[in-house]
Amino acid sequence: MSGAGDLIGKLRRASRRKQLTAIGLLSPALVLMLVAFVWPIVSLLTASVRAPDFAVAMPNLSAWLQTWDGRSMPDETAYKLVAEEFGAAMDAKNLAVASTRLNYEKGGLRSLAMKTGRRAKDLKPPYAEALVRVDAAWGEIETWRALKGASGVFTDRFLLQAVDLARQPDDSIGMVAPEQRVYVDRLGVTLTISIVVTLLAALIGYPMAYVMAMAGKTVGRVLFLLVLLPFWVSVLVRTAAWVVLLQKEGILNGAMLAVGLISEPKQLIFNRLGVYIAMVHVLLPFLVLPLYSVMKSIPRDHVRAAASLGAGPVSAFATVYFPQTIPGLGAGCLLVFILAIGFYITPALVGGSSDQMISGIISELALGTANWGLASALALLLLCCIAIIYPVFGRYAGATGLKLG
Amino acid sequence: MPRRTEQAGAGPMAPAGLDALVSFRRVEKTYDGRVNVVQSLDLDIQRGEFLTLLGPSGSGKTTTLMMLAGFEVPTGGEILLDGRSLASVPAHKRSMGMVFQNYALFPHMTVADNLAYPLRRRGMPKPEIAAAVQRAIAMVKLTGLEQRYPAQLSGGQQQRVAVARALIFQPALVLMDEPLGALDKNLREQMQLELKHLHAQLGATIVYVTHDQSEALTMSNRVAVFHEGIIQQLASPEEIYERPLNSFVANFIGENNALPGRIEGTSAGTCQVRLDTGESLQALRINPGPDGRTLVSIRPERMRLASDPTDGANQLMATVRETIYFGDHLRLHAEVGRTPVMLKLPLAQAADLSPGSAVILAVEPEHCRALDPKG
Repeated sequence: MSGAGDLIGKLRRASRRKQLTAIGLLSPALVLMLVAFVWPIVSLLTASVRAPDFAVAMPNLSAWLQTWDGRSMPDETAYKLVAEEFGAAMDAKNLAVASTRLNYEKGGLRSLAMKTGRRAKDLKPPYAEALVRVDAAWGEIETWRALKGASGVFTDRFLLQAVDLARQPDDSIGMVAPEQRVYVDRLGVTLTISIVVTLLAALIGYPMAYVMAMAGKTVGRVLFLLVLLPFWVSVLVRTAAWVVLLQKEGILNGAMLAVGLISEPKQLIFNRLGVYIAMVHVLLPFLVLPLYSVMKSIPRDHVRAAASLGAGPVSAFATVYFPQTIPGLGAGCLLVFILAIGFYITPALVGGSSDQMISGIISELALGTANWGLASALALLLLCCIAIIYPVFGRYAGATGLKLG
Repeated sequence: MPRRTEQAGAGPMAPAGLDALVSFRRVEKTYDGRVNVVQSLDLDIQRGEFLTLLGPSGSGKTTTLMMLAGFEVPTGGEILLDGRSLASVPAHKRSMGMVFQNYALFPHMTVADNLAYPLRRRGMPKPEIAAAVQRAIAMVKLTGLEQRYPAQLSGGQQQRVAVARALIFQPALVLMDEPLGALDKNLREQMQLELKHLHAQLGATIVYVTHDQSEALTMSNRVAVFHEGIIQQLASPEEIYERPLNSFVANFIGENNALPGRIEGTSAGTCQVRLDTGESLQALRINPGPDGRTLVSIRPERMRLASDPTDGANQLMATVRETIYFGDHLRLHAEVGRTPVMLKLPLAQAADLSPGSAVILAVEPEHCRALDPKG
């Protein structure tokens, strides 16, 4: 008995050792995943709803604002807190970030906050009158409502703004003013461009992958090289090359004029067409490669078998070959779509002003105006789009074979 | 090169009343313009027969089948089906059932859909398709597996589906390209029998390609032995085994003892051969080489130990090298001079067969065949 117990213990120890080794070998990958993937996404999600700058800079005023009903004008206590805490924030050097946060609530509040902060030390009670003398805006209830809006640690304003919604004065959710509705429109443009690019890439890439899969060794290798070429050239060089080719005085226009195809140069770039051409070129390999690997794995005998069973070339392709390539086509389309939805350099360089995609706006918000909240909310919007599309693709395209992730 | 096409009907299984369903007329195939994979092939495939194209890899047998199926185009000559040239008929209009080496079942379709495929292509009404599929499934004993996908079937089951799919539209001609190659030995032998029974039952003409000689011998009415793009011999399995026309066929089919020698004298159909080891024996004069050199071909089971030194047969002095126990027989490896020979002997042997001992081997002249050593 004790012998058997010994053996079981030994086995258990051995298998535990194996597990520990496995985890040890995996740990660099896990750490990398956490640091480079999970953490940024979590912080991104948090940034889209967390905007504590004002609450941190002015804790007591924020606490008071949270209890205020937002309808009656604030009393002297509130004005006293404003005078004290704006001055304190000025000294602590966090008035600037707090006023930026205020400015998201209502345009023009940054200058009001900065002015108030600079003169807070000189103010004498009664503070209500003193502050209204500094700026008449302190006598308006809208200013106080904006302050209340900024006083929380968490806010839904960025998420709402990302889909052109906002809290109305009565705290209900409604559309923003028509001239401010930009993001839904951009999202539409982004999705349109991504879908068209995906379709074009599928239309061009499918025959290409087919020829590569069918060709002999030499031809196959040359085609492979051509497909992979865009990978080896930097995005900027590649895009610049398209500008050279497609501009009004460019090679393509020149050639078409010379053969009399057109009578005056066509606008081929700096519009939607240019965006499509450049993006399809860049993304084509992502469609061709998975498709090629799937096609390569389909035995030639299948099409022969279809022929021997009475199917003509078109029928054999449609009933036997094409259905077997759907997993590869689905994987390729998904890759292209996901990559396309996040493009911004190419549309910025070869597109017109109406072809800017959401990623371009995100980059501008994050790097230009440091509006991390809205940038994060828009990024979250993109993530949601992909999260919706991925399972749909997975269901129809990945069910029988190749799966991503 | 010797060819015999008049052998049809000689085999025990050959159906009566034959006429040519397919005729190859001087068909050639080359891929590079220099080497002919198939050289000037003349071959008549009889209606209703089970013809096996047998040969080592690269002998042109598969190319011949592919040309018949329409997947390869002959570079010379023509193929006739029912007297009409197939040159301008594409593969999908030839209406030949085909079973592929790896079955080529469509992985995205169920068994039932795979079987229905050729019927759908022919526009058969749905109820009839369903009935035909049920019959085919019952025929290959796969009832209950209609809704499985090929990947969910065993190798043997996939094989049955492939056969049923090739037969379901009742083609006059069924082509099989090494269909049993991927199965294990037991299953292969079982499927050989089943295919043979299916052939007898349906009466379709079957052209079967294999490199496995035992498969060719057990299943076929006739066997065409391919080598270097040429049919070496076309005859019934028995004929091919018992009376090979040249040394390639003798060596390729079954086990063979080949004794080199020189022809010394000939008389009506037989000849006297002086072996290189000095012995002399009488043999059938089948196909001796042009310069008098010959290989005498003797099947291992036709040789025996001579109990009585005067029993009239050829006698050869040999030295025992080893004996191997095979359960149902004994294999004796010996040397006649320096030439190794092998005998299959019944188990009860009185003689001393310890290595090194001398024995006398006896073989009747009608089982010794003098063949050209080069072909």
